[in-house]
Amino acid sequence: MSHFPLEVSIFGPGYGECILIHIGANKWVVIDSCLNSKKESVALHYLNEIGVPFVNIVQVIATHWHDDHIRGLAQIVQEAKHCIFTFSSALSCDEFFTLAANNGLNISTTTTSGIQEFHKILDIINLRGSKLQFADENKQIFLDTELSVSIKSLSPSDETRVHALKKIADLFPQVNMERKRLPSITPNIASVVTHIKINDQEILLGADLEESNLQGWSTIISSQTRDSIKANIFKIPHHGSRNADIPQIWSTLLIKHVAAVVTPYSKGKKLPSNADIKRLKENTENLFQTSAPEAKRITRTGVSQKLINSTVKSIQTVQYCCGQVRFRFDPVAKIWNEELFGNASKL
Amino acid sequence: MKRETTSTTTIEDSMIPQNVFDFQKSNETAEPKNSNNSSNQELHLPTYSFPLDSLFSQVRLETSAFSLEKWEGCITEVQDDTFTATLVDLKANNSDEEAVFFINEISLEERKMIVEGALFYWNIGYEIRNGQRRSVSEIRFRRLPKISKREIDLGKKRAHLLKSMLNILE
Repeated sequence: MSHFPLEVSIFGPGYGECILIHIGANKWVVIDSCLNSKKESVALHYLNEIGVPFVNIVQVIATHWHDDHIRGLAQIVQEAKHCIFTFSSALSCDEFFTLAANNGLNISTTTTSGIQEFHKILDIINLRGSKLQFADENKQIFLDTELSVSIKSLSPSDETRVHALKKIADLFPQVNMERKRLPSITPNIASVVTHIKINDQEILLGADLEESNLQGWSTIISSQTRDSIKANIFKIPHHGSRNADIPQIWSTLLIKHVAAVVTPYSKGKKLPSNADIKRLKENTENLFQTSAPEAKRITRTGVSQKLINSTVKSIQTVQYCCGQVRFRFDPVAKIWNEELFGNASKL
Repeated sequence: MKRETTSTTTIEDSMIPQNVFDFQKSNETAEPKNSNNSSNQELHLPTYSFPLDSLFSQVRLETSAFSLEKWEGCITEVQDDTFTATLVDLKANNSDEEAVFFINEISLEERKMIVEGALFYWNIGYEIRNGQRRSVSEIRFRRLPKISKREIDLGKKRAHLLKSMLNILE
Protein backbone atom coordinates (compact mmCIF):
# COMPACT_ATOMS: atom_id res chain seq x y z
CA MET A 1 0.00 0.00 0.00
CA SER A 2 1.12 3.53 -0.73
CA HIS A 3 1.96 5.87 2.11
CA PHE A 4 0.53 8.74 0.06
CA PRO A 5 -3.03 9.83 0.79
CA LEU A 6 -5.44 10.58 -2.03
CA GLU A 7 -4.35 13.86 -3.51
CA VAL A 8 -5.39 16.47 -6.03
CA SER A 9 -2.69 19.03 -6.84
CA ILE A 10 -3.43 21.92 -9.17
CA PHE A 11 -0.47 23.90 -10.47
CA GLY A 12 -0.47 27.19 -12.33
CA PRO A 13 2.39 29.56 -13.04
CA GLY A 14 0.15 32.24 -14.54
CA TYR A 15 0.51 30.80 -18.02
CA GLY A 16 -0.61 27.22 -18.21
CA GLU A 17 -1.89 24.65 -15.81
CA CYS A 18 -1.30 21.07 -14.74
CA ILE A 19 -3.22 18.73 -12.45
CA LEU A 20 -1.90 15.68 -10.65
CA ILE A 21 -4.18 13.20 -8.95
CA HIS A 22 -3.09 10.39 -6.68
CA ILE A 23 -5.85 7.80 -7.06
CA GLY A 24 -4.37 5.38 -4.49
CA ALA A 25 -1.73 2.60 -4.40
CA ASN A 26 0.84 5.12 -5.66
CA LYS A 27 -0.92 5.42 -9.03
CA TRP A 28 -1.02 8.92 -10.50
CA VAL A 29 -2.98 10.66 -13.21
CA VAL A 30 -1.66 13.75 -14.99
CA ILE A 31 -3.97 16.18 -16.74
CA ASP A 32 -2.31 18.77 -18.99
CA SER A 33 1.12 20.23 -18.44
CA CYS A 34 2.88 23.50 -17.76
CA LEU A 35 6.43 24.62 -17.16
CA ASN A 36 7.94 26.46 -14.24
CA SER A 37 10.12 29.56 -14.61
CA LYS A 38 13.12 27.30 -15.30
CA LYS A 39 11.11 25.76 -18.14
CA GLU A 40 10.95 22.39 -16.38
CA SER A 41 7.86 20.19 -16.31
CA VAL A 42 6.00 21.15 -13.14
CA ALA A 43 4.47 17.65 -12.85
CA LEU A 44 7.74 15.75 -13.16
CA HIS A 45 9.53 18.16 -10.85
CA TYR A 46 6.88 17.67 -8.16
CA LEU A 47 6.72 13.88 -8.46
CA ASN A 48 10.49 13.71 -8.28
CA GLU A 49 10.45 15.94 -5.21
CA ILE A 50 8.03 13.70 -3.31
CA GLY A 51 9.75 10.50 -4.47
CA VAL A 52 7.22 9.10 -6.92
CA PRO A 53 8.72 7.10 -9.82
CA PHE A 54 7.43 8.37 -13.17
CA VAL A 55 6.39 4.85 -14.19
CA ASN A 56 3.61 5.20 -11.58
CA ILE A 57 1.80 7.62 -13.90
CA VAL A 58 -0.99 5.46 -15.29
CA GLN A 59 -2.91 8.01 -17.31
CA VAL A 60 -2.00 11.24 -19.13
CA ILE A 61 -4.84 13.37 -20.42
CA ALA A 62 -4.50 16.30 -22.83
CA THR A 63 -7.69 18.32 -22.49
CA HIS A 64 -6.99 20.24 -25.71
CA TRP A 65 -4.03 21.36 -27.82
CA HIS A 66 -3.54 24.93 -26.65
CA ASP A 67 0.00 25.83 -25.74
CA ASP A 68 -0.81 26.84 -22.16
CA HIS A 69 -2.15 23.34 -21.40
CA ILE A 70 0.28 21.17 -23.24
CA ARG A 71 3.80 22.57 -22.87
CA GLY A 72 6.06 19.79 -21.62
CA LEU A 73 3.42 17.06 -21.98
CA ALA A 74 5.61 15.08 -24.39
CA GLN A 75 8.29 14.82 -21.73
CA ILE A 76 5.71 13.46 -19.27
CA VAL A 77 4.49 10.89 -21.81
CA GLN A 78 8.10 9.94 -22.49
CA GLU A 79 8.80 9.36 -18.79
CA ALA A 80 5.47 7.70 -18.00
CA LYS A 81 6.39 4.56 -19.86
CA HIS A 82 3.23 2.62 -19.04
CA CYS A 83 0.66 5.39 -19.30
CA ILE A 84 -2.39 5.51 -21.49
CA PHE A 85 -2.55 8.79 -23.40
CA THR A 86 -6.02 10.29 -23.79
CA PHE A 87 -7.08 13.29 -25.85
CA SER A 88 -10.18 14.86 -27.33
CA SER A 89 -11.93 12.95 -30.10
CA ALA A 90 -12.34 16.34 -31.79
CA LEU A 91 -8.66 16.01 -32.66
CA SER A 92 -9.07 12.66 -34.40
CA CYS A 93 -9.70 14.35 -37.76
CA ASP A 94 -7.32 14.03 -40.72
CA GLU A 95 -6.64 17.78 -40.72
CA PHE A 96 -5.32 17.77 -37.17
CA PHE A 97 -3.23 14.65 -37.77
CA THR A 98 -1.83 16.18 -40.95
CA LEU A 99 -0.72 19.19 -38.94
CA ALA A 100 0.59 17.09 -36.07
CA ALA A 101 2.39 14.63 -38.35
CA ASN A 102 4.13 17.58 -39.98
CA ASN A 103 5.16 19.30 -36.78
CA GLY A 104 2.83 22.26 -37.29
CA LEU A 105 4.52 22.86 -40.68
CA ASN A 106 7.81 23.63 -39.00
CA ILE A 107 7.50 27.35 -38.53
CA SER A 108 9.80 27.70 -35.57
CA THR A 109 11.72 25.68 -33.05
CA THR A 110 11.48 28.23 -30.26
CA THR A 111 8.02 29.74 -30.58
CA THR A 112 6.36 26.38 -30.35
CA SER A 113 2.69 25.60 -30.55
CA GLY A 114 0.58 22.83 -29.07
CA ILE A 115 0.65 21.14 -32.47
CA GLN A 116 4.40 20.63 -32.18
CA GLU A 117 3.99 19.13 -28.71
CA PHE A 118 1.39 16.74 -30.13
CA HIS A 119 3.81 15.80 -32.87
CA LYS A 120 6.33 14.74 -30.22
CA ILE A 121 3.71 12.83 -28.21
CA LEU A 122 2.39 10.89 -31.20
CA ASP A 123 5.96 10.10 -32.18
CA ILE A 124 6.70 8.68 -28.71
CA ILE A 125 3.49 6.64 -28.64
CA ASN A 126 4.07 5.29 -32.12
CA LEU A 127 7.66 4.26 -31.39
CA ARG A 128 6.77 2.71 -28.06
CA GLY A 129 3.56 1.06 -29.20
CA SER A 130 1.75 2.62 -26.23
CA LYS A 131 -1.99 2.88 -25.84
CA LEU A 132 -3.86 5.92 -27.07
CA GLN A 133 -7.56 6.64 -26.62
CA PHE A 134 -10.02 9.39 -27.48
CA ALA A 135 -12.18 11.16 -24.93
CA ASP A 136 -15.87 11.53 -25.68
CA GLU A 137 -19.08 12.40 -23.88
CA ASN A 138 -19.57 10.12 -20.85
CA LYS A 139 -16.82 7.71 -21.78
CA GLN A 140 -15.03 5.54 -19.24
CA ILE A 141 -11.37 6.29 -19.83
CA PHE A 142 -9.97 4.57 -16.72
CA LEU A 143 -11.33 2.02 -14.29
CA ASP A 144 -9.67 0.32 -11.33
CA THR A 145 -12.23 -1.74 -9.43
CA GLU A 146 -9.72 -2.74 -6.76
CA LEU A 147 -9.17 0.91 -5.84
CA SER A 148 -12.79 1.88 -6.62
CA VAL A 149 -11.57 4.48 -9.08
CA SER A 150 -13.54 5.54 -12.11
CA ILE A 151 -12.48 8.26 -14.53
CA LYS A 152 -14.87 9.44 -17.19
CA SER A 153 -14.62 12.11 -19.83
CA LEU A 154 -17.77 14.23 -20.03
CA SER A 155 -16.96 15.94 -23.32
CA PRO A 156 -16.84 16.50 -26.26
CA SER A 157 -20.31 15.46 -27.33
CA ASP A 158 -21.03 14.32 -30.90
CA GLU A 159 -22.54 17.69 -31.70
CA THR A 160 -19.68 19.79 -30.36
CA ARG A 161 -17.18 17.50 -32.04
CA VAL A 162 -18.74 18.23 -35.43
CA HIS A 163 -18.43 21.98 -34.78
CA ALA A 164 -14.85 21.63 -33.58
CA LEU A 165 -13.90 19.54 -36.62
CA LYS A 166 -15.20 22.31 -38.86
CA LYS A 167 -13.15 24.90 -36.99
CA ILE A 168 -10.01 22.79 -37.29
CA ALA A 169 -10.70 22.33 -41.01
CA ASP A 170 -10.97 26.12 -41.34
CA LEU A 171 -7.54 26.48 -39.75
CA PHE A 172 -5.97 24.00 -42.12
CA PRO A 173 -3.39 25.76 -44.31
CA GLN A 174 -4.09 26.24 -48.01
CA VAL A 175 -1.60 26.10 -50.86
CA ASN A 176 0.42 29.34 -51.19
CA MET A 177 -0.65 30.56 -47.77
CA GLU A 178 1.87 32.52 -45.72
CA ARG A 179 3.45 30.27 -43.12
CA LYS A 180 2.59 31.33 -39.60
CA ARG A 181 1.85 29.95 -36.20
CA LEU A 182 -1.65 28.46 -36.11
CA PRO A 183 -4.18 30.48 -34.13
CA SER A 184 -6.20 28.94 -31.32
CA ILE A 185 -9.71 27.69 -31.83
CA THR A 186 -12.24 29.86 -30.04
CA PRO A 187 -14.56 29.37 -28.33
CA ASN A 188 -13.21 26.14 -26.92
CA ILE A 189 -16.20 23.82 -26.90
CA ALA A 190 -14.37 20.54 -27.48
CA SER A 191 -12.09 20.52 -24.45
CA VAL A 192 -12.11 17.35 -22.30
CA VAL A 193 -13.89 17.74 -18.96
CA THR A 194 -12.95 14.93 -16.58
CA HIS A 195 -14.96 13.41 -13.74
CA ILE A 196 -13.01 11.31 -11.25
CA LYS A 197 -14.70 9.18 -8.61
CA ILE A 198 -12.63 7.55 -5.88
CA ASN A 199 -14.91 5.66 -3.50
CA ASP A 200 -17.47 8.31 -2.59
CA GLN A 201 -15.23 11.29 -3.35
CA GLU A 202 -15.72 13.15 -6.62
CA ILE A 203 -13.52 15.56 -8.51
CA LEU A 204 -14.61 17.61 -11.52
CA LEU A 205 -11.90 19.11 -13.70
CA GLY A 206 -13.32 21.71 -16.08
CA ALA A 207 -10.37 22.07 -18.51
CA ASP A 208 -10.97 25.07 -20.81
CA LEU A 209 -14.51 24.15 -21.79
CA GLU A 210 -16.51 27.23 -22.70
CA GLU A 211 -20.16 27.78 -23.47
CA SER A 212 -21.38 28.88 -26.90
CA ASN A 213 -24.87 28.64 -28.39
CA LEU A 214 -25.95 26.12 -25.76
CA GLN A 215 -22.95 23.91 -26.52
CA GLY A 216 -20.14 23.10 -24.15
CA TRP A 217 -21.27 23.10 -20.52
CA SER A 218 -24.98 23.06 -21.43
CA THR A 219 -24.41 19.78 -23.26
CA ILE A 220 -22.89 18.22 -20.15
CA ILE A 221 -25.65 19.54 -17.89
CA SER A 222 -28.44 18.30 -20.14
CA SER A 223 -26.85 14.94 -20.97
CA GLN A 224 -29.27 12.02 -20.55
CA THR A 225 -26.50 9.45 -20.22
CA ARG A 226 -24.38 11.22 -17.61
CA ASP A 227 -24.06 9.80 -14.08
CA SER A 228 -25.25 11.94 -11.22
CA ILE A 229 -22.32 14.13 -10.13
CA LYS A 230 -21.69 16.02 -6.89
CA ALA A 231 -18.04 16.96 -6.90
CA ASN A 232 -16.12 17.93 -3.75
CA ILE A 233 -13.26 19.54 -5.71
CA PHE A 234 -13.66 21.60 -8.86
CA LYS A 235 -11.05 22.96 -11.25
CA ILE A 236 -12.78 26.02 -12.64
CA PRO A 237 -12.85 26.02 -16.46
CA HIS A 238 -11.05 28.46 -18.73
CA HIS A 239 -9.29 30.51 -16.08
CA GLY A 240 -12.55 31.67 -14.51
CA SER A 241 -13.85 33.50 -17.58
CA ARG A 242 -17.49 34.51 -17.80
CA ASN A 243 -18.13 32.53 -20.99
CA ALA A 244 -17.09 29.27 -19.30
CA ASP A 245 -19.49 29.64 -16.41
CA ILE A 246 -23.17 28.84 -16.25
CA PRO A 247 -25.14 28.68 -12.97
CA GLN A 248 -26.18 25.05 -13.51
CA ILE A 249 -22.56 23.88 -13.10
CA TRP A 250 -22.69 25.00 -9.46
CA SER A 251 -26.22 23.88 -8.75
CA THR A 252 -26.12 20.53 -10.58
CA LEU A 253 -22.58 19.16 -10.57
CA LEU A 254 -20.99 20.43 -7.35
CA ILE A 255 -21.61 20.13 -3.62
CA LYS A 256 -22.40 23.27 -1.65
CA HIS A 257 -19.19 25.00 -0.50
CA VAL A 258 -17.18 23.07 -3.07
CA ALA A 259 -13.42 23.66 -3.00
CA ALA A 260 -12.87 25.43 -6.32
CA VAL A 261 -9.55 26.37 -7.89
CA VAL A 262 -8.92 28.90 -10.63
CA THR A 263 -5.69 28.99 -12.67
CA PRO A 264 -4.97 32.54 -13.90
CA TYR A 265 -4.05 33.39 -17.49
CA SER A 266 -1.60 36.23 -17.85
CA LYS A 267 -1.28 36.53 -21.64
CA GLY A 268 -3.32 39.00 -23.65
CA LYS A 269 -6.63 39.39 -21.88
CA LYS A 270 -5.85 38.64 -18.24
CA LEU A 271 -8.09 36.13 -16.49
CA PRO A 272 -9.82 36.00 -14.11
CA SER A 273 -10.92 39.63 -14.01
CA ASN A 274 -12.05 41.23 -10.75
CA ALA A 275 -15.64 40.75 -11.92
CA ASP A 276 -14.93 37.07 -12.55
CA ILE A 277 -13.54 36.62 -9.04
CA LYS A 278 -16.55 38.39 -7.55
CA ARG A 279 -18.92 36.13 -9.49
CA LEU A 280 -17.03 32.96 -8.55
CA LYS A 281 -17.00 33.92 -4.87
CA GLU A 282 -20.76 34.18 -4.93
CA ASN A 283 -20.83 30.46 -5.68
CA THR A 284 -18.42 29.20 -3.06
CA GLU A 285 -16.54 30.48 -0.05
CA ASN A 286 -13.75 27.98 -0.74
CA LEU A 287 -12.20 29.64 -3.77
CA PHE A 288 -8.45 29.37 -4.45
CA GLN A 289 -6.09 30.59 -7.13
CA THR A 290 -2.78 29.00 -8.09
CA SER A 291 -0.95 32.28 -8.64
CA ALA A 292 -1.53 35.96 -8.01
CA PRO A 293 -1.88 38.11 -11.10
CA GLU A 294 0.84 40.70 -10.78
CA ALA A 295 2.84 42.13 -13.67
CA LYS A 296 6.50 41.13 -13.49
CA ARG A 297 9.40 42.39 -15.52
CA ILE A 298 12.78 40.81 -16.04
CA THR A 299 15.60 42.96 -14.71
CA ARG A 300 18.11 43.83 -17.40
CA THR A 301 21.14 46.09 -17.60
CA GLY A 302 20.51 49.81 -17.91
CA VAL A 303 21.39 50.00 -21.60
CA SER A 304 19.20 47.07 -22.60
CA GLN A 305 16.31 48.31 -20.51
CA LYS A 306 16.56 51.78 -22.04
CA LEU A 307 16.40 50.32 -25.56
CA ILE A 308 13.49 48.05 -24.64
CA ASN A 309 11.56 50.96 -23.15
CA SER A 310 12.17 53.06 -26.25
CA THR A 311 10.74 50.34 -28.51
CA VAL A 312 7.68 48.87 -26.81
CA LYS A 313 4.55 50.28 -25.28
CA SER A 314 4.69 47.67 -22.51
CA ILE A 315 6.47 44.45 -21.65
CA GLN A 316 6.08 41.86 -18.88
CA THR A 317 6.65 38.20 -18.24
CA VAL A 318 3.80 35.84 -19.04
CA GLN A 319 4.44 33.75 -15.95
CA TYR A 320 4.14 34.50 -12.30
CA CYS A 321 5.80 32.45 -9.64
CA CYS A 322 4.34 28.94 -9.97
CA GLY A 323 1.82 28.11 -7.29
CA GLN A 324 0.21 24.89 -6.15
CA VAL A 325 -3.10 24.22 -4.45
CA ARG A 326 -2.91 20.75 -2.90
CA PHE A 327 -5.81 18.80 -1.45
CA ARG A 328 -5.06 15.67 0.55
CA PHE A 329 -7.81 13.41 1.81
CA ASP A 330 -8.07 12.51 5.46
CA PRO A 331 -9.81 9.09 5.44
CA VAL A 332 -10.64 9.25 9.16
CA ALA A 333 -12.23 12.69 9.23
CA LYS A 334 -13.39 12.16 5.60
CA ILE A 335 -12.38 15.65 4.61
CA TRP A 336 -10.02 17.17 2.06
CA ASN A 337 -7.34 19.37 3.64
CA GLU A 338 -5.96 22.12 1.48
CA GLU A 339 -2.37 23.39 1.46
CA LEU A 340 -1.08 26.34 -0.53
CA PHE A 341 2.42 26.60 -1.99
CA GLY A 342 4.33 29.25 -3.91
CA ASN A 343 2.12 32.01 -5.15
CA ALA A 344 -1.18 30.21 -4.47
CA SER A 345 -3.77 31.92 -2.29
CA LYS A 346 -7.33 31.74 -1.01
CA LEU A 347 -9.59 34.37 -2.55
CA MET B 1 11.82 48.88 -37.64
CA LYS B 2 15.28 50.16 -36.92
CA ARG B 3 15.58 52.68 -34.16
CA GLU B 4 18.94 54.38 -33.77
CA THR B 5 20.25 56.65 -31.08
CA THR B 6 23.76 57.96 -30.81
CA SER B 7 25.68 57.58 -27.62
CA THR B 8 29.14 58.41 -26.35
CA THR B 9 29.40 55.80 -23.63
CA THR B 10 32.64 53.80 -23.70
CA ILE B 11 32.24 50.14 -24.56
CA GLU B 12 34.33 47.67 -22.66
CA ASP B 13 35.33 44.42 -24.33
CA SER B 14 33.82 42.43 -21.51
CA MET B 15 30.42 43.87 -22.39
CA ILE B 16 30.59 42.58 -25.95
CA PRO B 17 28.70 39.35 -26.42
CA GLN B 18 28.72 37.27 -29.60
CA ASN B 19 28.14 39.06 -32.85
CA VAL B 20 24.67 38.25 -34.10
CA PHE B 21 23.93 41.10 -36.46
CA ASP B 22 24.45 40.48 -40.13
CA PHE B 23 27.46 42.69 -40.50
CA GLN B 24 30.94 41.63 -41.44
CA LYS B 25 32.91 40.62 -38.37
CA SER B 26 35.51 43.09 -37.28
CA ASN B 27 39.15 42.36 -37.94
CA GLU B 28 40.74 43.50 -34.75
CA THR B 29 44.00 41.59 -35.34
CA ALA B 30 44.81 42.99 -38.78
CA GLU B 31 48.53 43.06 -39.20
CA PRO B 32 50.92 43.66 -42.09
CA LYS B 33 52.19 40.66 -44.09
CA ASN B 34 55.16 38.74 -42.68
CA SER B 35 54.31 39.80 -39.16
CA ASN B 36 54.91 36.21 -38.04
CA ASN B 37 58.55 36.44 -39.05
CA SER B 38 60.77 35.79 -36.08
CA SER B 39 63.10 38.68 -36.73
CA ASN B 40 61.37 42.01 -37.00
CA GLN B 41 64.68 43.78 -37.39
CA GLU B 42 65.16 42.33 -40.91
CA LEU B 43 61.69 43.21 -42.09
CA HIS B 44 60.75 46.08 -44.29
CA LEU B 45 57.53 47.09 -42.63
CA PRO B 46 55.14 49.17 -44.72
CA THR B 47 55.05 52.83 -44.00
CA TYR B 48 51.78 54.32 -42.83
CA SER B 49 50.83 57.94 -43.17
CA PHE B 50 49.06 57.82 -39.80
CA PRO B 51 49.65 55.96 -36.54
CA LEU B 52 48.80 52.24 -36.41
CA ASP B 53 46.54 52.69 -33.43
CA SER B 54 44.41 55.03 -35.41
CA LEU B 55 44.24 52.62 -38.36
CA PHE B 56 43.25 49.64 -36.22
CA SER B 57 40.75 51.73 -34.39
CA GLN B 58 39.05 52.65 -37.63
CA VAL B 59 38.99 49.06 -38.90
CA ARG B 60 37.26 47.98 -35.73
CA LEU B 61 34.87 50.87 -35.42
CA GLU B 62 33.73 50.82 -39.02
CA THR B 63 32.53 47.24 -38.82
CA SER B 64 31.55 46.54 -35.23
CA ALA B 65 28.04 45.58 -34.38
CA PHE B 66 26.86 43.42 -31.55
CA SER B 67 23.71 42.33 -29.86
CA LEU B 68 22.72 42.83 -26.25
CA GLU B 69 19.38 41.04 -26.36
CA LYS B 70 17.60 38.96 -28.95
CA TRP B 71 14.11 37.48 -29.00
CA GLU B 72 11.93 35.51 -31.33
CA GLY B 73 8.47 37.03 -31.32
CA CYS B 74 5.11 35.69 -32.38
CA ILE B 75 2.15 38.01 -32.87
CA THR B 76 -0.81 36.97 -30.76
CA GLU B 77 -3.13 39.88 -31.33
CA VAL B 78 -3.36 42.90 -33.66
CA GLN B 79 -5.12 46.01 -32.39
CA ASP B 80 -5.77 49.34 -34.19
CA ASP B 81 -2.36 50.94 -33.72
CA THR B 82 -0.50 48.28 -31.74
CA PHE B 83 0.19 44.57 -31.83
CA THR B 84 0.88 42.16 -29.00
CA ALA B 85 3.52 39.46 -29.24
CA THR B 86 4.93 36.68 -27.14
CA LEU B 87 8.72 36.88 -26.91
CA VAL B 88 11.10 33.99 -26.37
CA ASP B 89 14.52 35.11 -25.15
CA LEU B 90 17.16 33.63 -27.45
CA LYS B 91 20.10 34.68 -25.29
CA ALA B 92 19.02 33.63 -21.81
CA ASN B 93 16.73 31.05 -20.26
CA ASN B 94 14.28 33.70 -19.08
CA SER B 95 10.52 33.29 -18.79
CA ASP B 96 8.64 34.15 -21.94
CA GLU B 97 7.53 37.76 -22.13
CA GLU B 98 4.65 39.57 -23.72
CA ALA B 99 5.13 42.99 -25.28
CA VAL B 100 2.93 45.53 -27.01
CA PHE B 101 4.55 47.26 -30.03
CA PHE B 102 3.42 50.36 -31.93
CA ILE B 103 2.55 49.52 -35.54
CA ASN B 104 3.79 52.89 -36.80
CA GLU B 105 7.30 51.97 -35.61
CA ILE B 106 7.38 49.20 -38.22
CA SER B 107 8.53 50.10 -41.72
CA LEU B 108 5.76 50.45 -44.33
CA GLU B 109 7.16 47.52 -46.24
CA GLU B 110 6.98 45.21 -43.24
CA ARG B 111 3.58 46.34 -41.95
CA LYS B 112 1.73 43.97 -44.27
CA MET B 113 3.34 41.14 -42.33
CA ILE B 114 1.66 42.14 -39.08
CA VAL B 115 -0.89 39.35 -38.76
CA GLU B 116 -1.70 36.96 -35.93
CA GLY B 117 0.83 34.12 -35.92
CA ALA B 118 3.57 36.03 -37.79
CA LEU B 119 7.11 35.48 -36.51
CA PHE B 120 9.86 38.05 -36.16
CA TYR B 121 13.23 38.63 -34.56
CA TRP B 122 13.77 41.59 -32.26
CA ASN B 123 17.38 42.48 -31.77
CA ILE B 124 18.80 45.28 -29.65
CA GLY B 125 22.42 46.27 -29.43
CA TYR B 126 25.05 48.61 -30.85
CA GLU B 127 26.42 49.55 -34.20
CA ILE B 128 29.68 51.46 -34.43
CA ARG B 129 30.42 53.27 -37.63
CA ASN B 130 33.04 55.88 -38.32
CA GLY B 131 33.79 56.12 -34.65
CA GLN B 132 30.21 56.79 -33.65
CA ARG B 133 28.26 54.35 -31.57
CA ARG B 134 24.54 53.97 -32.19
CA SER B 135 22.08 52.06 -30.12
CA VAL B 136 19.92 49.90 -32.37
CA SER B 137 16.57 48.24 -31.84
CA GLU B 138 15.54 46.28 -34.89
CA ILE B 139 12.53 44.16 -35.73
CA ARG B 140 12.78 41.89 -38.74
CA PHE B 141 9.84 39.76 -39.79
CA ARG B 142 10.68 36.27 -40.86
CA ARG B 143 9.98 35.66 -44.52
CA LEU B 144 9.17 32.00 -44.59
CA PRO B 145 8.49 30.02 -47.78
CA LYS B 146 4.80 29.77 -48.64
CA ILE B 147 3.05 26.47 -48.07
CA SER B 148 3.26 24.30 -51.16
CA LYS B 149 0.84 21.74 -52.54
CA ARG B 150 3.58 19.12 -52.37
CA GLU B 151 4.03 19.84 -48.67
CA ILE B 152 0.31 19.47 -47.95
CA ASP B 153 0.06 16.26 -50.00
CA LEU B 154 3.07 14.84 -48.20
CA GLY B 155 1.54 15.88 -44.88
CA LYS B 156 -1.68 14.02 -45.67
CA LYS B 157 0.26 10.87 -46.55
CA ARG B 158 2.22 11.09 -43.31
CA ALA B 159 -0.98 11.59 -41.32
CA HIS B 160 -2.55 8.54 -42.96
CA LEU B 161 0.53 6.47 -42.20
CA LEU B 162 0.63 7.66 -38.60
CA LYS B 163 -3.06 6.90 -38.09
CA SER B 164 -2.67 3.44 -39.54
CA MET B 165 0.33 2.74 -37.30
CA LEU B 166 -1.62 3.96 -34.28
CA ASN B 167 -4.54 1.83 -35.47
CA ILE B 168 -7.02 4.72 -35.49
CA LEU B 169 -8.01 4.90 -39.14
CA GLU B 170 -11.69 5.81 -39.50
